[in-house]
Amino acid sequence: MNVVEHGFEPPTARLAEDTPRGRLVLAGNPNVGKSVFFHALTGMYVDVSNYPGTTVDVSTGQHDGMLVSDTPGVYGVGSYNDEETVARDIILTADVILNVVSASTLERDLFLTQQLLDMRKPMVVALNQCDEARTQGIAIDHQLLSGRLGVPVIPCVATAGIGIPEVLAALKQPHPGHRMPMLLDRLSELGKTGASEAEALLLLEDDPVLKARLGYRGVSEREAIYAQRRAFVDELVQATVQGLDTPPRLSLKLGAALLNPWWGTLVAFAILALMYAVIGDGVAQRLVELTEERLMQAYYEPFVRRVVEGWVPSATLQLVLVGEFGLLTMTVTYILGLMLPLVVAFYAFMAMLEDTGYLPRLAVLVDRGLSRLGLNGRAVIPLILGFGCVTMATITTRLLGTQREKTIATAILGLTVPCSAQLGVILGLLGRTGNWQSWAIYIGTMGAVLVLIGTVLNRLLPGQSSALLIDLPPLRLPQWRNVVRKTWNKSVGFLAEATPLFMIASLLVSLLQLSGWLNVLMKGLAPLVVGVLHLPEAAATAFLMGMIRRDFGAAGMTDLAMTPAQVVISLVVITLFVPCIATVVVLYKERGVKEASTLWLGSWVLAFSIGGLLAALMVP
Amino acid sequence: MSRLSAAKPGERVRITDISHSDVRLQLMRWGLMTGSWVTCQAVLPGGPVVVRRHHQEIALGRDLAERIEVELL
Repeated sequence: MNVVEHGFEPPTARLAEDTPRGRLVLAGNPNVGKSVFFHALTGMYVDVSNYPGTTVDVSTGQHDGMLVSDTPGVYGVGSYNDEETVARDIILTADVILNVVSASTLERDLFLTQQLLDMRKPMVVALNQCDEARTQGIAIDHQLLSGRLGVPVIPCVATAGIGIPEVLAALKQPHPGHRMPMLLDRLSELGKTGASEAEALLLLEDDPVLKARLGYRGVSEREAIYAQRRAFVDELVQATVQGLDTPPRLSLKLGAALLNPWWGTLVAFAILALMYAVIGDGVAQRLVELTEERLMQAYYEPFVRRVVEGWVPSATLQLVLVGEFGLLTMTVTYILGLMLPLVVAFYAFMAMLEDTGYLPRLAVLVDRGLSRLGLNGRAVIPLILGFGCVTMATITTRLLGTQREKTIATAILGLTVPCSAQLGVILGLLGRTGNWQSWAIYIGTMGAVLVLIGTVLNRLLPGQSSALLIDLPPLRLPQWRNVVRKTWNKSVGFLAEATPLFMIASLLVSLLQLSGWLNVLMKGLAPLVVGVLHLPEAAATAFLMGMIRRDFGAAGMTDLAMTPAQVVISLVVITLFVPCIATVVVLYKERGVKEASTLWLGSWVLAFSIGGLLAALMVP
Repeated sequence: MSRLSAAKPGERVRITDISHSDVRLQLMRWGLMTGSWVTCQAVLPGGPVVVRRHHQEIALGRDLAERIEVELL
């Protein structure tokens, strides 16, 4: 076929060329360096994470005529949670599997390896992180291991590129390997029902989703198979691995210190302080002032306004596009000038913390406190992210184990956690009151409301929250390439998801403004603000602006003449009051109409009753 | 015979029973099952228990630790 001569490609020939020769699937436990292999195979970027739940998005690419799929990091193939369901479905379609295991946690990782072998998938095992294992005093006889498993086992240090060419070569000749002997009879029996060998194993292991899908009603042998596999793997490790009994002193001591209530808390506060200095002050204040005010509002907005006013005759359309809440003005400035720097900074910080293995230890430290609020330690991640952007944090609540935990975390975020846009104005206003009581009352009130919401919801909501059950990865230094890649993927992912929502939100506000409802609302709110909260009438405008962007609300307060008591009351109200309109749109998407509406209405009640209470106590 | 939640940091204990079936299966994947020896690595007051077997550290919430029976060395 000569494409140039004919001027076009015959469609059939192109199809034949592009048809993948099969499907190559990467599988492995969380945090074993799978993404580096995916990158080496496909040249594409992929997300990696310590924390199960953050990689449910699946990346695919091409290698050597094969379709390459990544899977979320899992400890076994099953239906234990969302990631496993995703991983299981992809693994079932695999023609070849590249199983990445960590040399330093082989006992854990080989369980999945043996399960994949029991599924009868042709496979290559990449024995990664060999350098880390060596410094821990672990020595692995990889040739013996390869012989016992019946598949190629290739030692690698993927981050340094060591072993990757050998893995690519081995992938040309993958082997099906050895199954556990006990399974042979049972599986061939099941094979007669028409299920594939891989499906047959999962049916024996009582996978509920697959049983329903294939209409299988046999008895579960999961417990027996798991126990035998564990014993089988332990015996394998005994035979091929040396130096397991001497764990490294330094990293263990450091790890133990992080779990100590005193030292651990001290470190946590130090990290929070650093985070505030870098993100809260450096990025949210200084950098955003540059990007939002000096770049977007000074250059971009006047330019786009001139263009639209010159080309679009309709005044209504002009208002929607470039008005106060315009799609091309406020929305674009908001996303590029404010959200982008903040989101990148927050994700970079979290990526670094994730890479070091610190976050799971922080989760252990705060587990007791959070469990009283119906959450477990893992919820610390969305809660921290909330101080950056509540919208971003609300999306992250997906990683929590049960619906009730997602509900509780979302409520705490939406009602009590001030995002960084708002935090800057709040801190500035509290500082201006010039007395420590204002700080104490504000922080005390918000803390009390947070605890109240968690405790009440924990009592009221049916069911039970999941308990903490996590493995703690070894402490290590962050890999910069990893951090950059993760930050890039997460930031792009968030902006892609949130941008249309911001657009919808600003459109809604413009419609409210056009129809005159914004004014009606402000007039209606004024008596409540003056009568119940004892605040100046103009504060009503600030509160309503806060519905659109929370910092608009807080910023509106700056110009009002208020006593220190009034400042505290208005800040409490503005924090508790309805989340910004972008968060509300995410709320509806993530939690559904009923829950989102309840939360929205609840925030009105909460803001005005707590604010009213404070006013009655503080303003004579 | 006692509960894992009553273990003290540094103690070596042997797991004798894990009553929660999902937890039992998840722990088997990580390498812990009835009969396994573990070292208690940390106990947060009123909070999770962290155990270690070889190079693997696992954190269990207080409720789970209370449902795991162990015996002391």
